[in-house]
Amino acid sequence: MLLELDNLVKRYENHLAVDHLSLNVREGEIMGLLGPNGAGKTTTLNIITGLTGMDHGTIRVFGIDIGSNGQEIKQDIGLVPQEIAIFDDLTAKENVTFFGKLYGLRGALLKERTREALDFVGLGSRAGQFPRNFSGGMKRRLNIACAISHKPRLIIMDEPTVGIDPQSRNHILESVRTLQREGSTILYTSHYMEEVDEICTRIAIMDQGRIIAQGTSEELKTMISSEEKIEMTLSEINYTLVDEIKKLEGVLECHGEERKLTVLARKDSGLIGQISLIIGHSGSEIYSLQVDKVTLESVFLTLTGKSLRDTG
Amino acid sequence: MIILQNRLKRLLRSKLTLMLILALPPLMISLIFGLGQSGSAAVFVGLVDQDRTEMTQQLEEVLGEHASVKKLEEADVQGEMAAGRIELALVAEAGFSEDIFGGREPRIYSISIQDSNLSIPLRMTAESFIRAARNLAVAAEGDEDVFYRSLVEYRQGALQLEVSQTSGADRNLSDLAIGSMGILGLNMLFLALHATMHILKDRENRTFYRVMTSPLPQWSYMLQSILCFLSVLLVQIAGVFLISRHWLDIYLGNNVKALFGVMAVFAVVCVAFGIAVAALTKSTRQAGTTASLLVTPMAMLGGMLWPREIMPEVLQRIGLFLPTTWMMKAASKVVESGRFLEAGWEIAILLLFALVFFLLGSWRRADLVA
Repeated sequence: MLLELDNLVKRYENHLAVDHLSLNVREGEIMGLLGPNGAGKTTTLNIITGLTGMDHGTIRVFGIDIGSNGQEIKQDIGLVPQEIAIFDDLTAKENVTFFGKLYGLRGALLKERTREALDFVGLGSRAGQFPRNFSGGMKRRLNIACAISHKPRLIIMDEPTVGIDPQSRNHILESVRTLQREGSTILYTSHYMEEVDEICTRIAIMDQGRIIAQGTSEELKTMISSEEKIEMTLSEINYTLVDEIKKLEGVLECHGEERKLTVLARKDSGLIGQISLIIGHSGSEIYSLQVDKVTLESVFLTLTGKSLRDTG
Repeated sequence: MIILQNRLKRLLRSKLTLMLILALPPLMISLIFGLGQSGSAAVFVGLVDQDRTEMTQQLEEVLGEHASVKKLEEADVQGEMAAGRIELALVAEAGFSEDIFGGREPRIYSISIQDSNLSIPLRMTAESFIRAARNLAVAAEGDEDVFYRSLVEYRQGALQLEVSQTSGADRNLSDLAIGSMGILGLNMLFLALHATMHILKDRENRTFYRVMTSPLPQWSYMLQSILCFLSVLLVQIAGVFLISRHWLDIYLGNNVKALFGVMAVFAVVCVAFGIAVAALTKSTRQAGTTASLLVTPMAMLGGMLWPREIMPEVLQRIGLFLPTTWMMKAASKVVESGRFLEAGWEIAILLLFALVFFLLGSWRRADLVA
């Protein structure tokens, strides 16, 4: 295992940010850590990178305990933080050079790696420009370049696509795949289930400081493959309506917000007719109806009882 | 030295920093002490000649070489001075020439509102001329012809009379040097805070946390930052000393190296103070407010903007708890004595302040990101 987290606990006064978390990341994989904001993803990453202490647990990176050889291990880790962490008063090239130097790169190798990193994120032609003039997506890409110039074995990416345009997002996702192909192991956190589903070889779903499920995307979906998700748009929703549907045989979860009603039910339970009847009796009208295939969203909904998208 | 290089590059790219380092201190010194004005035409001196002899005529000519001389009656002096039309008035009383011939202290006195770099050289010129005249009178042994011939030759430069200052430097010049150090010290405090705010900026733009995830230890990051800020302050001191001596023509005591030493120790205190402010505040805005609230009163109570002696005793006592007071005391002692070790006690107290500030600044949270 490249990264082993065993029974991590981190408490902030009365709040348990990380609750007995255990996770293994294999060499060469893209491990997705999926969870809503506040699930404890960033705290977990901060513990791995040494920015936050832990109250309990052990971490082994490259087979070495970080408690005893923290500085040595850091040499082979690259962090892409959630917030853009670059110097606005240094050019793109100077930013990457600075971070490269921190990891011991010097001379011709430093120059070469800096150029490679900037080209990799598509900023080679803007090397001499100051990031203050960059778009959000370009800053995010520079943020990545600063983390990869030293070619780390483990790259930790904390929500690297937050708040950027689709073009930059696609560029970043493709970069992550390329980094994996080139031999890096990536720990990727996000609350966007589509991108985790798209690029990660394995996924751990996190909520309230705990890993509630982990496996490949298919394995996770199989967990609830006996279920189906029915989404309806109604003229109005009230609590009585939601409670009545929940009482139906075969309904696992029912969730209503504004005019959108989401029902998770056992597959082929033939509930649509009964649900329509209850809606009709309540005086509400159905504007649209859709039976969804299983997604990570429905996995999360099943496991936590809440929508990943809404909490994120 | 990656952090040191990075900080220097970023600091020196800022026009504000460059202005704080080299332009602002000399400008403030010039404005506050009225320096930087050259040429005799801009300086006016009033001469009240109650003796009306060739001797006073010669004095008027000597002064005229350096300033515009305005002949006045004694009653007009106050009004002219209050209106700012003259910098200095010299009153040569009846018997002035007789006293010089007799080798006695002549009856002449000067009036000025406050000695400045404009009035001091004029007064010194007059004093130098009178002292030479007295010496020549003694040598002439009462022969007026010989005396005036010698005086003319003296003024033409055939006779060289050199006035050298040793440890007993002119009081006003020393005050000017000490005052200049006060202004420099105030600027150093502001520059140190401006520079150390880079630490807070690095926290705000999250680069600090990113650097902390690299193999660089936190102590190395802090040490390199401190060295950077200290180098910037030392460059400022050296720059201001050079400008003060060679451009503004300010007397900095007879041991400039010792005075530089005192200011270098104060630079350590300033950096430590900045580090403490950066550690104990949460944002650049909070640090900026704290700096404004602390630095100006520290400068005032420490005697950087005016002599401490003019303040009430209670304020002077409060000032003893501030490093600015001890810097000013150390600078005074070194300017007046010319010896660094003369200010040993003050230097020790300054180093103690630096230690306390560094300890406050090194207080660390358990979690870097907390």
